[in-house]
Formats: sequence, structure tokens, C-alpha cells
Amino acid sequence: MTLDERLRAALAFRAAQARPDPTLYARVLDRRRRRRRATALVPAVTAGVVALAVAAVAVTAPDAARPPTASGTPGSVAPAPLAAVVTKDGPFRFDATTGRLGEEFGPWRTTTAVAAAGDGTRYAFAEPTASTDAQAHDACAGTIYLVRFGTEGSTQEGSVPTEGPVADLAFSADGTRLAYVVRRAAKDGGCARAELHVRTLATGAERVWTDGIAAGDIVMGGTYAEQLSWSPDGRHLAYVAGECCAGGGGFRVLDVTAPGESFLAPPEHGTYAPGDPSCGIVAVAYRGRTGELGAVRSCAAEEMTYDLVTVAEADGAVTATLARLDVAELDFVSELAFAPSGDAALVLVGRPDKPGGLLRWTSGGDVRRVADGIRHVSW
Amino acid sequence: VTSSAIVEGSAVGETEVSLAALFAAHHRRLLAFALLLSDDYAGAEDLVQEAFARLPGRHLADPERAGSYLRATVLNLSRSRLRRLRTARRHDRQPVATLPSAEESAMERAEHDEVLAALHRLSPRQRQAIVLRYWSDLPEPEIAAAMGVSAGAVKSHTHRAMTTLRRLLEADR
Repeated sequence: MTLDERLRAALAFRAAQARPDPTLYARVLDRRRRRRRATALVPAVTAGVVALAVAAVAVTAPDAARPPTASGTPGSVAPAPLAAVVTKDGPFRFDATTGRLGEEFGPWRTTTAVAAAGDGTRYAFAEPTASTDAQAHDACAGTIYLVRFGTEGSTQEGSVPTEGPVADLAFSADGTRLAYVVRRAAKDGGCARAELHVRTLATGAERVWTDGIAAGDIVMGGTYAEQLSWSPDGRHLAYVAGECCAGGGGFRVLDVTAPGESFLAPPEHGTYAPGDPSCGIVAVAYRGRTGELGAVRSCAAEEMTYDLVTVAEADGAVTATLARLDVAELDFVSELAFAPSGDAALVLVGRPDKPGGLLRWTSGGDVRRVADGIRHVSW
Repeated sequence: VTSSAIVEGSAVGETEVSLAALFAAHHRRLLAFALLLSDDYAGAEDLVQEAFARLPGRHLADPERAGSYLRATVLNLSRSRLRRLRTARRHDRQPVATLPSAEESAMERAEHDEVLAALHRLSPRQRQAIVLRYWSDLPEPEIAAAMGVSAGAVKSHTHRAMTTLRRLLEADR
């Protein structure tokens, strides 16, 4: 027997002893998860140190220096179901209290939108088809996946193919319907259109709003006709819309129970806050079960400011200011999500089309940065 | 259906492969590969876990590239690991422990153990070259790419390894 043959035989003999433990895959997933958490924790720890320093200063500061607060006892935040975020590594469950990533939804890296049903178990996310571009502006179709997390991990509950990439999606409060916006390419090479779908999950029946609502919602750079949010009674759908080419934008509230296209107010309302043309609404979301419509209002009087507020559905008039948000110069607020209880919120801030930071507001008036590297959020 | 298996056969694209599918396709052979490179079974499992844990998301869309990446990761990790272990085991001449196998006769096993023990006395680079050539059956350019060295270096490592193996195996007889 030559040395070559002896080597081959010995190596094959040793290799045949490789009998993978059935738990190996679970251990791989666990290790990947821990690696992600460790990566995500670096900015969170930094933010935590900063927050501690800020808190130390706040303790010694006079009460008048504190931001306006809504009702509620400072710091009394009931345990909330896990939110959902999209990072560069895909969609994850997210603990808004600790800022830690939870389970990943799967090996996805091109997620364009995510939605949490608010019960901590059901989530939906959208993936473009045939594109590895993280922003997926050029994708020609997409798929929405519905997943449920249980004691043994996640299971797929269904999927919905779409005829364009999904810009945003949201579960109704009772979890029976899913609203989503699909971007449709313009035939003439001009601006794209946005299509708003409301799907009854049990039957698959859909109602679609296109031109009319979409006429003013035409997508520009993939940033408009987004931030879908259902009123707790499932009658109204609020969202932020932009007008292609003409610029500008604002929030709209659609009555999904009415025939045709029925807004609570004409679509142009909300583009600018009533009585103050220097202010506008840049993000909206219903404040959980309270039924109030929350919003982020930006004003550019002397310097750009961002306030978390509640507004009237009909015209965007501010009904209460919850907190002043610390948003860096040149950064924007791109998404807002309230906890189902309404006593906490997550605000996504950053540059357009880039991962941003998450600010967490609690009803005590506390606002702190809890995570970085976030592309989308839902709670 | 687990979420990690959703991708298979879905509308995301035929080239998109889930981590679960990659794991199913590669883990057994990768474990064998790690076992040949490292000194112990637990260490080999650890290398495989770490390789999959480090697999970047962008490679999930390309199973072939992912396979190469995983193999290269195991290779690199095994080298670091062996470097650490060698310090502790510099004078250790114990034969490599193997799991009992009912199919193999005692004589065959003794013969294999002898070769494997000699193999594990090679330098990490030499051992890698031998495993990639005689077990992975890779051509020289691919061995060079996997090891991150030139083809000439592969030849040199292989030649020295074979010379050492001959000497060790003859000395043991």
C-alpha cells in the first residue's frame, strides 16, 4: 500500500466518524443570534453610558427643564410585547426596553418592511423578488411573509405575493387584516405609483386603492406612502404620503369602511400643521389602544425641531405635546411606532435610506436612544 | 415549516438559499473536514458552529460561494486553534483518539490511527495541504486559494509533509 493510499484510507476512516449531533443546527442559530446581539449591543452600551450621564445631569436639573409630559407616572411602563426591527442583517424581534435584538425571522437580508401584530407572537415582513439590493428600489415584485413565534421558534403562517416591492405594511389591531403599500413602476418612466392594499387574512380578500389616493402618494425615492397605522377600531388607516415631483407631503387618514376613497379630511391637510406653515407632520401612528393619533411634528422656525405629539385625525391640529426629540442636525425622523398600550413609542431617526437610531419614548416623558443600525421598526 | 426554510422554493429567487439549506448541504462534510484538521471532536464541532455563525448574510444567496467561505473559515479557525493547542501539547506524543467503529477491524483501525497520529504531528499548514489534497481532492490551484498561499507554497507544504509522514511512519515500524 502506497503512502497516498494509506493517507486516503486513514482520512476517509476519520471523516466517517463525523456524526453531527442533532442539536448542532440549533447551536449554530444560537451562536449567530449571540453574535448579532453582541454587535447590536455595542452602540446600545454606548448609548446607555450616554443616557446614564444625561440622567445624572437631569437629576440635578430643575423640573422646568424637563420636556412636556403626557399623563402617566414617570418610569411606570408595563411590559410590552416585543417589537420588530429590520437591521442590515434582516428582521428581528426587538425588546424596546433593553434595546436588545431577539430572534431573527430567518436568513433574510433584503427586507423592505416589517410589521408586528402587537401580541408579541405574530409578525409580517416583506422581501423583494430577484434583487439583492438592500433597498430594493429596482425589484419588480415582492412577497410578504407571515410568521408566528412560539416556544419552538418561528413558523411561517402564509405568504402573499405582490406585484411590486412592498414599501410598508401593518396589521390591524385585531390582527385579522393586513394593510400594505406596493410600489408600482411608472410606465412612462416618470414617478412610481403607490398602491394601497387591505387584505383580510382569513379569506385573502383584498381591497385596493390606487389612483386617487395614490395620485398624491406617488413614491419618490421610496420614502413616501409609508408608515401605515390602523386605528384601534379598524376603521381608519393613517399613513404618510409624499407627492412625486411636486415635493411636500403629510399624513392622511383613510376611512377603509367607506366606499370609494374617503378621507377624514382632504388629502392636502396634514401637509402643514394648521396655523403654522413652518411645521409639518413627518410621521404618524395610532397611539395603541388609546385611539389617539400620534405624530412627529417638525418645525423649522429658527432651527429644526421635532416633537412627539398627538394630533386631530381631521386636520393635524396638535392636541398634546408628549416630548421634544433630540434629532441630530441633518437627520430626519422616518418612522414612528407606539406600543399597543400607547404608553411608549419608538422613533426611527437618521439619514434617508441609511440605517438609523431608535429613540424610545415612555409616558413619563423619558426619551433615550436604545439602538442603532435600524432600517425599519414596528411595535 | 421553520422561518429559515421559508426561502426554499419561494418567490425570493432560485439562487437564494436559506441558512437551513446551506447547513443541510454542508455541515456533515464540514464537520469531517474540521475533524481531520483539528485534534478533537468537540473542537471540530466548535469550528463548524463558528464557521456558520460567521457566515455573512450576503453569502446566503450564493451556495457555492458559501461553501468555499465555510471551508476557508474552518481552515483559518483550525489554524489559530492548533497554534494555541500546540504550545500545550508540544511534547505530547499520544495517538489521536478515535471513536470505536464496529465496521473496522482492530488491525485496520491501528493502521489508520498510526497514519492519523503522524498526520497530527505535521505543522498546521502541512496538515491542511494534505487534507485538502487527499480528502477534499482539490486541485492545486484550489488548495492554494483555500489556504491563501501560492501554488508553489502548496507544493512545498505537500512535499515536506509527505517526507515527514514517510519518516514518521517508518520510524514507528
